[in-house]
Amino acid sequence: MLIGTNVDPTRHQNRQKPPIANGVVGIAIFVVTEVMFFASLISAYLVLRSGAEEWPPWGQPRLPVAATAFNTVVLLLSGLVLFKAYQQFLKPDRVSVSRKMLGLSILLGLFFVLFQGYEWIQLLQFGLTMTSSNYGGLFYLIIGTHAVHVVAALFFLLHTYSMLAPSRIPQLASTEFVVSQIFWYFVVGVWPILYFLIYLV
Amino acid sequence: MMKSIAVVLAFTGFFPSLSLGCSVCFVGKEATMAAYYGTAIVLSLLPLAMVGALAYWVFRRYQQHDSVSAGEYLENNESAYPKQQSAPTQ
Repeated sequence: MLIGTNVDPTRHQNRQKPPIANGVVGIAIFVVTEVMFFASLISAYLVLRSGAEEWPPWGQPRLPVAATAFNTVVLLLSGLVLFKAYQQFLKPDRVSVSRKMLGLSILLGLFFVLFQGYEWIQLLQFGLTMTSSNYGGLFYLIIGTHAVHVVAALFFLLHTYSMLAPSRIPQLASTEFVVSQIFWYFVVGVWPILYFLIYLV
Repeated sequence: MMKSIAVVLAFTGFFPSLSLGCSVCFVGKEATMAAYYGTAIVLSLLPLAMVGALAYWVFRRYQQHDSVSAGEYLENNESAYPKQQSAPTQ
């Protein structure tokens, strides 16, 4: 039937099984837009900061550099554990180990958010608010936006965790795992940049 | 329409300070200007780089997939192609 025609014999097969899952392409495009979003926030921060006479402004509290460094390590560790969890997922009969490691990664991410919330309460008590200065406004805007992303990514991870339950078919969670992984890596990857620019420089 | 675009391009080309749109951009210090130009360049090039990289990655994955699929198909369906017959010998 195919003899003498220009029809690609593999075309039908290719369409049935795409080389990249739609969800993965979708999250990749989403992450591109998110990178631009954070880049624009950082741009606004740098322009406003460079125009200020003193940074942080006089009378405003200093940010807790050491405590946040510890929190940064926790978040990076969470990303590493997630990476190891996916490696276990790819091995045969290691889904339960992978699920436990994924759970650990979620707990580390949750710790990061809660610790940051505690830090915010302290800063608010010291007088750093959204309206106290450009410094406070930009701090809560950028770090708060990141925190919202962490919470959203945690929901992604929790969904994957539920799909790896023993009562369900783990192979069906493959795309979900990759998607939640990409989003979490983005959240983990952007944090050191924010930490460096806002806490250290 | 084209005339208007040409006028705008000519003005921004010969008088670049006119294209600075807000007080932060041109009233600020040297450091502010440097931050403005630096981030404007990054914000202009970053989406091009990311979309380009993404498109290239998708293209490469499809290419790899096609070559693997074609190989598998030929292994399983050799009869789909006619074997070349040699000329009859006397």
